[in-house]
Amino acid sequence: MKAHVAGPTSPAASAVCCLLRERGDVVSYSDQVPLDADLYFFLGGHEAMKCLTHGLVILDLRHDTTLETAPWVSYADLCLVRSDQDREALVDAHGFEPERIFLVTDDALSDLVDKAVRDALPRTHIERRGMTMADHGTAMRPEDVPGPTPQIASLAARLEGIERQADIMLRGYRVRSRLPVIGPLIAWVRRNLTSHLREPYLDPTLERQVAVNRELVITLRELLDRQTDLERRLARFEEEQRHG
Amino acid sequence: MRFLHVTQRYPPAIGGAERYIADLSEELVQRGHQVDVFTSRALDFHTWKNELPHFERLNGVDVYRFSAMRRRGWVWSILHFGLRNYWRTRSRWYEPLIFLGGGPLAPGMLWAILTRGRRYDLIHLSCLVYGHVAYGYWAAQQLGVPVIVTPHAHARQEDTYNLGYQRDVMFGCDHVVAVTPAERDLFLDLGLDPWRVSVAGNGLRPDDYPGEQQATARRRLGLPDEGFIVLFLGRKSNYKGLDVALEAYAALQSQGLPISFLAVGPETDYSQALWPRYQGLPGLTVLGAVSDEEKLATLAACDCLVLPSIGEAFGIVFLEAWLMGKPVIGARVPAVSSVIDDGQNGWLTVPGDASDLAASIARLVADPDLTHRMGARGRDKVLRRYTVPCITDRVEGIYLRVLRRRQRTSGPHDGRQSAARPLEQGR
Repeated sequence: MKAHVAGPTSPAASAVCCLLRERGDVVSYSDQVPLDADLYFFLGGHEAMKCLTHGLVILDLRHDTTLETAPWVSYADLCLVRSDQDREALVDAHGFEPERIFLVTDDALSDLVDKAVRDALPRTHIERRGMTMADHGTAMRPEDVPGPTPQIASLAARLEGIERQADIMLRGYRVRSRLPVIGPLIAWVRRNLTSHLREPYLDPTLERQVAVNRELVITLRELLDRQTDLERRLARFEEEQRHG
Repeated sequence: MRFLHVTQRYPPAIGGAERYIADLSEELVQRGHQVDVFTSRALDFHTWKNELPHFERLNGVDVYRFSAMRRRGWVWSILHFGLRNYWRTRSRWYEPLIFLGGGPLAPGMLWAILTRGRRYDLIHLSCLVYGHVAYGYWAAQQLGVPVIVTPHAHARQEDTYNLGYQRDVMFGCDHVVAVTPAERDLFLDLGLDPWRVSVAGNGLRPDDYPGEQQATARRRLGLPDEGFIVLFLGRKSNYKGLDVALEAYAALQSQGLPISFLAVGPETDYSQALWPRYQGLPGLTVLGAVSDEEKLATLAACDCLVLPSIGEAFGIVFLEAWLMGKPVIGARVPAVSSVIDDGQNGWLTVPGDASDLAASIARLVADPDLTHRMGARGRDKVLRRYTVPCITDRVEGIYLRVLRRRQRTSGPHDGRQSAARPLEQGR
C-alpha cells in the first residue's frame, strides 16, 4: 500500500512513518500531499483533507493537547486521540460519532489500519456517554515483544475466516427473472409473495444473527489478544528466569 | 465537485428543512463546489400547487423546479387511508397509497435524475417523509451514483422514518445524516450501521441576527419596559406545549412575580380553543405569524425563551434565542436534550409538567446574572458548533467519506480528483 504522512517534521511523524514501513507500506512524508496514495495520515488539520476522494484518511490528534484542530475530524475517516477525556470532548462537545474515534498507541496502530482498510472495524453502536472505546484501546495495545506462537497465529487465521463469514445475509441477492417482457412482473410477484415472511420475520432475525456473529468475533478477538498477551508475558518471564 | 440536492421544496418556500438545504447548497457553492437542486414548484406542501418558476439561480445555486401532482382532498383521503391501515397491519400493500398521498409526485424530476444524475459526484436527498426521496433514491441506485439522505425524522412521528420504503432508503443509501445525536440513536436502534450514520445539526448565520437593544425592541412591540418577559415562539400546535407554558406563567403570576408572557407564532385551532381559558391573564401578549424582523425583535425583547415542546426534531428556535444571548427552557425529550445542556445554557423540564417549568422560570427571574451567563454560554455554543459553515464542514466531510468508501470498496483509484476544485497544497 502507498501511505503518505502529512504534517510538520516531528518525532511523532517519524514514529508513524517507521510504523507504516514496518507494515510493509511504501511511505512518503511531506506537507505536500500526493494524489496516488491509498492511506493518508495527517498529524493535524490540513487543507488537502477537504479534497481527498480516495483512500483512507486518518487524523492523529494524539499530540494536540487542546484539541484545537478538532473541527478537522469532520473530514477524516478515523481519528486517533490520546485519552478518554479527549474522546469524550470530541463526542459530547463537538458531536462527532464515537465509533470513528480511537484511543490507540503506536504499537496497536498497525492493527487498526489493517482493520480500517478491510472495513472490519467494530460495528457495534457505542453509547455517547458511559461506555467508551477504552476497552478496544486496551485490546489494541500488545506488548512490544516477539510475534505470536504458531498456535496463536493459527487461531488468529481461523478467527479471520470466521470474521469474513460473520455476515450471513445474502446482501447482493435480488429476485430476478430472465424471461423477456414479463420477467420484471414475475420477479415482482415473487418478491411480493415472499415479502410478508422476509421483511417482518426472516430479515430481522438474520440481521440479529449477523450482529451476534460480529459481537462474537469481537469478543473472541479480545480473548485471543489477551491470550497472546499472557503467552508473551509468560515467555518473557521464562526468559528472565533462564537468565537468572 | 458536483452535487445534486433533491428536496421537496426550496426557498422562497418556508420551513426548517427547506432552509437547511438552501444554506447547505449556498455554502457549498461558496466553497467552490457546483450544486444543483431538484425540487417541486410548490410553496405549500398541503396542496403542492405549482407556483414557482421552472428554473432559478439563487445565490449561485441552480434550482430546477418540476411540476408535481396537486394534492387535493381525495389525495389526502388516500394518504390517511393508507397510513391508518399501514399502522394497523404493517402490510407493505398500503405503502404505494402513502407514497401517492404524500407527494410531491413529479415525474419530470424522476426523469431528470435518471437522465442527468451521472453528472454528479453524489446525490443528497432531503426529508424522508416525502415521496421524492423514494424515487430519487431509486434513480440514484439505477445510476450507481452515491446517495445520502437527511431524513429530518421526528421520533414521535413514525411515519417520518419508519415506513417500509423509508427504511429501505435508509438501509440502502450510502450515508444517513441526522440533525441531533438523539435522531442518530433512533436510527441506530432501527439497526443502521453506526459507521453510516452521522450527526450534522442545523446551522444559523450569526450575521442574520444583529443584536438590538432590549429596551428598543420592547418599545417597538409595545411591551413593558420593566420586568421579566418569557417568550413562547413557534407554531401554536398542541405538541409545542403552549398550554404547559401558559399554566406555568399563570402560576407565577399568582405568586406576584414581575413577569410578562409573549406568545408568538401562527395560530391553530388548538390555540384558538385555548385562549378563552386565559383571557384576562395580566401581562399576556399574543402575536400571530410575524416577519423575520419582528421575530428578531421578540427575541431581543424577551429575557428567556420557553418551548416545552414534545415533538421537536431539533428546535432551531433555541439556537436563535442563544444567538440573541437568551437562555432557553425546553422539555426533556431526546432531541431537545441533545441540544440544551441542562443548567449550562438553559433548563430541561419534565414534559407536560407546568410546576417544573414554573420553577425553572422562577430561578431565572430570581437571578439575572444566571440568566445572562446562561445566554452567553448558549451564544458561545452556537458560534462554536451550530453555524452554517460548521454544519457545511460536517456535511462536506460526510460527502468525502462516502466517496472514499465507495472508492475503497470498488477497487483501485486512478489518482483523479473531482473536477470542481483542484487539490490545494499546503496549509
